[in-house]
Amino acid sequence: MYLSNFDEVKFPMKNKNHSSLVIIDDDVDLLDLLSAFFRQRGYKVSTFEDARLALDEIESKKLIVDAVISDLKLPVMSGLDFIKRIRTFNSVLPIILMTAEGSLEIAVEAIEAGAYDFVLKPLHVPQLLISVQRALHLNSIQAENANLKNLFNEQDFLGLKGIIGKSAGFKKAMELARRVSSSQASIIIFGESGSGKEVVAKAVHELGERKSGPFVAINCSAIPENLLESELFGYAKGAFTGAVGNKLGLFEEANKGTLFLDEIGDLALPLQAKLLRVLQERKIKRIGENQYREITARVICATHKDLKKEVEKGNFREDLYFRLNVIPIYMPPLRERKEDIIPLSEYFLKKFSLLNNANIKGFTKNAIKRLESLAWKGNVRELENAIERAVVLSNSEFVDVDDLPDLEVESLETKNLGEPKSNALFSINTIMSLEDMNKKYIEFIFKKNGFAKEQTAKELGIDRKTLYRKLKEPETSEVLLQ
Amino acid sequence: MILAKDTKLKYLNRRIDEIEQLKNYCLLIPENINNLELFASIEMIGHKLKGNGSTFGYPELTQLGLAIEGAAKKLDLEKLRELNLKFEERVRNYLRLLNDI
Repeated sequence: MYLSNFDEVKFPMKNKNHSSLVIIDDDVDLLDLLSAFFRQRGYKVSTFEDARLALDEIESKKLIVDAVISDLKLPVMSGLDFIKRIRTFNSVLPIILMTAEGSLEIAVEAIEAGAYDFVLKPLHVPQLLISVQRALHLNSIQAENANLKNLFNEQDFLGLKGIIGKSAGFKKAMELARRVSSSQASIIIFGESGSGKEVVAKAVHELGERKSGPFVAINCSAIPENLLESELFGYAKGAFTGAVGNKLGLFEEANKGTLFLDEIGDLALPLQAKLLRVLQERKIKRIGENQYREITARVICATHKDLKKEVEKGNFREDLYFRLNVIPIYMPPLRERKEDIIPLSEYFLKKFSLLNNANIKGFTKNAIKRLESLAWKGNVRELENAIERAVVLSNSEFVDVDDLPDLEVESLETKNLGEPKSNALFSINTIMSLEDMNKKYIEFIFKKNGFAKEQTAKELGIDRKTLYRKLKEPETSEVLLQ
Repeated sequence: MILAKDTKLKYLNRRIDEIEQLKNYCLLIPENINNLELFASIEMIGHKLKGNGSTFGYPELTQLGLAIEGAAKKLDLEKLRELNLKFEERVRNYLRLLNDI
């Protein structure tokens, strides 16, 4: 049976590709065959019988190419020489060599010279197609990687890459991080979950003398107590059932570097005692061992909890609190550093556009207003997730309000009344009368419902007339009556 | 991979041209002092045939290509003449079969 085209049953042409291929072979039959095969699959194909001509076109950038398929044995310039010349100005272009000489030595030589793959003749064209697809995939990953690196390097704060923020609160935290980076003093970073405590810790690490050492981070609340101990201190072979070999603890892994203990406020009391000893003596003992080992890692702790209160409640050791609280750094929540929302959003937009191959250029004015008006209870982490979602869902070149998550309840206006962490309506730092609290609650529900009286009355379980009366009371906020 | 009839016809007709070239080289070799160049040209024809025969659905031609390349390297003119006859016979047979369809 002969088909007018290549066998569609065996090689379906779904997912047509629009990449550019250069095929070099002095065998005109193969050149025609491969050219037709790849063109039918959507590839843009340029063919050459002479590698020098292909080289000139690529080097002069007359030809933008995503991958090259070249024969090894060519009359004027061999496939190997072609690769060597290409590599002098382009280190990433995938080149697949074809040859009828099936020796291992030649294959090794080709790969060493920079070939992506080596395909034997007689060609099995589908195999070649797979090789090309893989090469192009690798190429796209490399390009993406390079773009992300560029994006990361664009950001610069205190000489550090990828640190974004221009608010006074952020700058204050980072400036303090810079000043303490060269000292040996204990640092504890306070801030809500997702506010960027690890960014501060990394800044201290990067700006200090330990930057060439490792930065090891662990979230103390994420690991059960018994596992956390072995994670931190390591263990000796046979220390307990399942300890089949020696294991380095994170204190040792972070030697000459920094160990970042996040959510230290969630550390169990027995481990707090052990941590205090380590900080004081600068020595650790692996579980199941008697030998002490010196540690050189700098320990930076962080928590979203009010440790002073935890001490009062008996949940946190006072001596450890004083040991840690030498230099406290406070990273404000995102709602208190509104100026950072847009630079961060733009950064995440670029990052996720690159990762998702989405051509999204920015935000609409309304989307910007919306981003600035939200409370971001989950802070930068929540903002990042929201932007990722928007990039994935957006149908246009600009992210609009509809692409952003529905976080109305958490708008800043609402948050001004409330304590974000506890999701309460407002902080009870001052005692207020039941009547005042009643009014505040009505205000809260009224704003939450976008000043819709009917819905507010329904939610409060009162009739509309009662709501009107309550709203007209002189103490009720004037804003509500506008 | 199933190829179009036209593609195969084109391929085989190009082989007929090569067969004529090979015949010509075989005639020239005894009279030519620089016959190493002629052997090299034959070797190249064999090399290409080795590389493309199976791809176009003719594994026998790949085998013949391998033999032609080897005989050219050994400067074995008699063997080359013999192989070229086989080459011609096979190609004409394939063409006949194709045209009968």
